[in-house]
Amino acid sequence: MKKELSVDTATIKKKDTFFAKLWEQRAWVMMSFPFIVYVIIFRYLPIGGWVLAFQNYWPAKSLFDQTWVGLENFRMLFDDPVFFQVLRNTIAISAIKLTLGMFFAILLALILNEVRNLRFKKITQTISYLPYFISWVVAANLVRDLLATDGIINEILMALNIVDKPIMFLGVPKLFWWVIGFSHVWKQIGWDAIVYLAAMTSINPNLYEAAMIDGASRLQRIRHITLPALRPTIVILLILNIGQLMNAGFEQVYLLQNGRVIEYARIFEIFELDFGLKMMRYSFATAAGIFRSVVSIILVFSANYIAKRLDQERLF
Amino acid sequence: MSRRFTRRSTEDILLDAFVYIFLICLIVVTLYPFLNTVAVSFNDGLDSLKGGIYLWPRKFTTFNYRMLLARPQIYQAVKVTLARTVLSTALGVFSTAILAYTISRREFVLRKFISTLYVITLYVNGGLIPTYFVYRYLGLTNSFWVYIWPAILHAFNLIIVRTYIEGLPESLIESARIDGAGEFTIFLRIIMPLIKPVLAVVALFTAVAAWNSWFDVFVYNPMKPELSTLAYELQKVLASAQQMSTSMELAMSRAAAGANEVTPRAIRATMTVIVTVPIACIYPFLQKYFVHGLTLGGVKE
Amino acid sequence: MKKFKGLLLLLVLVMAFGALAVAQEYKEFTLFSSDPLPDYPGSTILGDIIDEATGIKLKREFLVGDLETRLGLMIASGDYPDMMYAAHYTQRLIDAGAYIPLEDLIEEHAPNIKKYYAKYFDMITAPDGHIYFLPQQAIPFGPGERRYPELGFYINKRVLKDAGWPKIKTFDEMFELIENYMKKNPTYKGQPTIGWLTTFDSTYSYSTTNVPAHLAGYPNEGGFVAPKEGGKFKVRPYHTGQIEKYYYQKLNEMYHKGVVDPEMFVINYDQYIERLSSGRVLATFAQHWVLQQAQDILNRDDPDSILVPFPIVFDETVEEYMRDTPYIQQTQGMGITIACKDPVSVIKYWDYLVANQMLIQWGIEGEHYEVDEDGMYYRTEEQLALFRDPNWVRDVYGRQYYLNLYPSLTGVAEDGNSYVPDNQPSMIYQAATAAEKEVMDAYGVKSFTEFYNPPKPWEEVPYYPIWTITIPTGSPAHIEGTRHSDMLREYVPRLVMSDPSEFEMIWNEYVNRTRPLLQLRMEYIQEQLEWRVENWGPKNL
Repeated sequence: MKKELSVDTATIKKKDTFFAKLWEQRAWVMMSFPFIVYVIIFRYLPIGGWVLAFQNYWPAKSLFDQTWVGLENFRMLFDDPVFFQVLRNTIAISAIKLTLGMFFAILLALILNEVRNLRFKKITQTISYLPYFISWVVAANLVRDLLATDGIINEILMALNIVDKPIMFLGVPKLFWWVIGFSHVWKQIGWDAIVYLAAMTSINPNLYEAAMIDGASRLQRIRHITLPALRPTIVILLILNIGQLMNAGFEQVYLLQNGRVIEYARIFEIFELDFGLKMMRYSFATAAGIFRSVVSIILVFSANYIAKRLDQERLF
Repeated sequence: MSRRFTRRSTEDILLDAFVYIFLICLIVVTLYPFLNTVAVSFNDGLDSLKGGIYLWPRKFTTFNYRMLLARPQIYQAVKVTLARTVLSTALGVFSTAILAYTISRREFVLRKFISTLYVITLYVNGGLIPTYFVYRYLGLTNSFWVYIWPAILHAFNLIIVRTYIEGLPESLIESARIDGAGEFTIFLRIIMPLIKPVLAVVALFTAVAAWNSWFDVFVYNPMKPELSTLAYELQKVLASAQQMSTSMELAMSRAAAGANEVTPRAIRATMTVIVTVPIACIYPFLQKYFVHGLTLGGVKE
Repeated sequence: MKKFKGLLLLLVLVMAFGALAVAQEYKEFTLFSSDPLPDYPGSTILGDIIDEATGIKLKREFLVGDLETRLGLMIASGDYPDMMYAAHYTQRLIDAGAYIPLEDLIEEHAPNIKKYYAKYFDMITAPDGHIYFLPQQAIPFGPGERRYPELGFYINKRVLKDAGWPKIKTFDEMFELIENYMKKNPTYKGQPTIGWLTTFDSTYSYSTTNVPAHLAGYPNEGGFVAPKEGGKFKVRPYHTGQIEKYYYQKLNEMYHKGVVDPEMFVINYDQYIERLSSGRVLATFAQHWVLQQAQDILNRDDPDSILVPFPIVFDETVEEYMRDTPYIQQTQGMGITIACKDPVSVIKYWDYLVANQMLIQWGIEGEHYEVDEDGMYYRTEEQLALFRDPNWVRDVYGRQYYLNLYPSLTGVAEDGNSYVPDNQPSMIYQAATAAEKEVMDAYGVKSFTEFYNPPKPWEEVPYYPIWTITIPTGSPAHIEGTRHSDMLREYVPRLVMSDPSEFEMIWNEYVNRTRPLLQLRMEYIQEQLEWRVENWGPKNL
């Protein structure tokens, strides 16, 4: 890094101020400028809509003729009888998805790395990507069919005498989080494994050879060489995903839920829809959205900070 | 020595057994639903209601396909979907690459500012209604462009491309710079060809998202049937599978033939196949790039 | 990039030409309807005649996905189509200022609407003195006979035949019958028989949760009923009542006997219809229109398994009044929005539709119906066959696209013919399918409504029905209502599926949590109901 800097500073003559640098780097500035404008217009301008949360927004009036209510919408949010249930479901579902998703993706990557038959490896890998290409709208139907009482999973379980009557996977409230977790794994595992496989390709093969000479078993090689090489990727994905704890994945949950499991299925996005938009309580929905965004930001910055303190990779 | 050898080999055998069992289970749960869907889509609708269709149709028919493909809306939707997928992928790949290049330059003064600006968008958004107002102000509602502009840059794509560029040998860029090449030339001539693998990944991300999205049609263009997409048509079919529309000729010929009947399950399966097959087809073309393309890293200074 | 540009240009050109071709001859209006119909086929028998006669073509958006979400977006953004129908949420559009007043337009440009609706104008006039919409459900003229009642407990024809055509009166009797039949016939066409199945899909879940009110003999009132106490109507909840407890306890018992479909709470509406259509469901409860599709399919493909409606009640002491007193949709209908640039053409278009009800409902004389020497309309066997095919009626004839959402008429016209062909007195029996006739003959009736008591006359229930009273959107009462439906979604499956020993405990929990969620709506509805009785009471429908 020192070296790169020195190359650059050679071209900078006298002033080392911010603006001088900016002028010096004008090519980069020009290349990135449109995208700064872009992100501000498309992603930040709508955030101005957060003022809705402090009003009692009614559509027929202009934004400035609305009644201001201060923090009333937030008070209603926190006082809502199902608020904690919603919070619990959201965090539980995303935490389960995060853990299972990561665990199985790493497992698949390790397993694929152990397959010696390259043809088989390639075929399996290709098949495992398949669910990634479909939307949840389609996937939810497939998952429903898979898990139905006359679906293939129940038929296999019955054939193997593991259960004596079909399990109604989608109808058991306590199972719902796990249905979401495993259907997430089903859809994402192949694709998510790619990141780890990519990280593995950068491991120096000499390390494995040296370990073999030292008599390390396959499991030991996985534990001492492969896994440590994955650490930076794992850390970055963890930071990225910890911020997503407040987003449990609207489409998936919405499409797989049913009346029977409502207590375990109502996540923030669904709550905002049912008690917000659908009731024209736009301000209330916005307040809930703000709460979610703020928590996310706190989580991601804390995770990033902790990573920095532990001298790990970090996001920014 | 020999004792150690046997121990290692039992471990080996167990490990291999685990590996193959795991992968075969994975293949079954992944492939089966798709094959089953294809089988149902080619099976007579009423017959499917009796259950018991697994991997092969029992009463083969192409009727379900003829029914769905008789709807003129499908063809318009195919055109729009292709246009949006191709256009947003092309624009998306190019924009992501160019911005990622600038923020991969460690000495760039706006590097951290831009990175943070984008990363925050992963977690914060203004919500549906405010976004709608902004898009309407920009003239994007009731317009094809609402499919393109909002989708071209995604922070996650930016991070993976940035990571990839940072992994390239710095000397390549330096030598070009010494040869007097401008930054844009360096980007086009040197960086772009080198980052093809990661761009393939971004292309796939963007294309899959564009192909599958229906919510933006629902929110911004529901009154424009000519701007409907395949995924939205799928939604329509799922919403009113019982109420499948047919062309006049087909309905008449069917009334004459008597026997055939579309059922929600058959229609769902058929529409699923129609929507899924084309996007899955692009995958083999990009596959060779994947394993090297998707590296993810942060900064560690 | 060149290729994409070319493609895009092509796309734009195609669209522009398309738009031009339409614009040359016809005025175009946009329409949103909350009926999830498939896209208009482009040309139908009715549509072509109407387009030609009015010079107006419609660009229709039918609901995809969730109605409340779509409305929430539409209202927030203010981007409306020219005319709009939003079922139970019509009041929201009025509150949001989306509809324009119609009374002056009707006065000046719509002689037919004025003529037919005259009696009902004050029932659809908002408190601010304006008329914002025209009722979606037909304006009732005369008594209007029907082959099927509006709702009922439906029993599979095979079961009735097997038992020698019994007249089933009570819930217990019905389940006894089903259980006996199930023991003898555990499967049907290779699949397990389903004893009892109602739909619990969110949009239609009232087919499951409103049953206690009907067991108590009430017609389709909604979530509350209004018995007369001391000469006055008192709005009362039936949820958490004794009959509701009996209902769920019975279902619980039947669930553990394998009579109730174990997947009842998991499957969606499509699957419900699918199961009914398969002929293996022995009994269900529904509004007729909810299961009509399945009945049509059964009539065609499995006539032995058609579903026969009965007014089943809690016990012998209950007097049933399940049929609807004819009413108009005081709170639902189609309106013209503030986005419409030419409301006069729209009102004239509606006026044409109202004036031509016979065309829309019966079709073209000589082709779709015949007239006998007394001037009464009827259909020949071939004509009937056409109209029995639901796909032909919708896709080729086009009835759904011109009837249900627009202002329309029902009952008997001046010339003595019924507006709705199926309700033409001479056709109620004659036009029935062979399977339907077999059942009617066996019971010695000429229509299934004969199983029922005639509805209470309007004078006795001048508020009817409660469910058309709209709770103000976003109000505490509305929020209470949503919480209550959540409570039902949570507890109904538990009550039915729980271990019988836990039933009491879950029931008490349900009662304790539900009771506080009924108060606000009860008060509001009471108030509105009294207003209706006062203002509409003397009116004789």
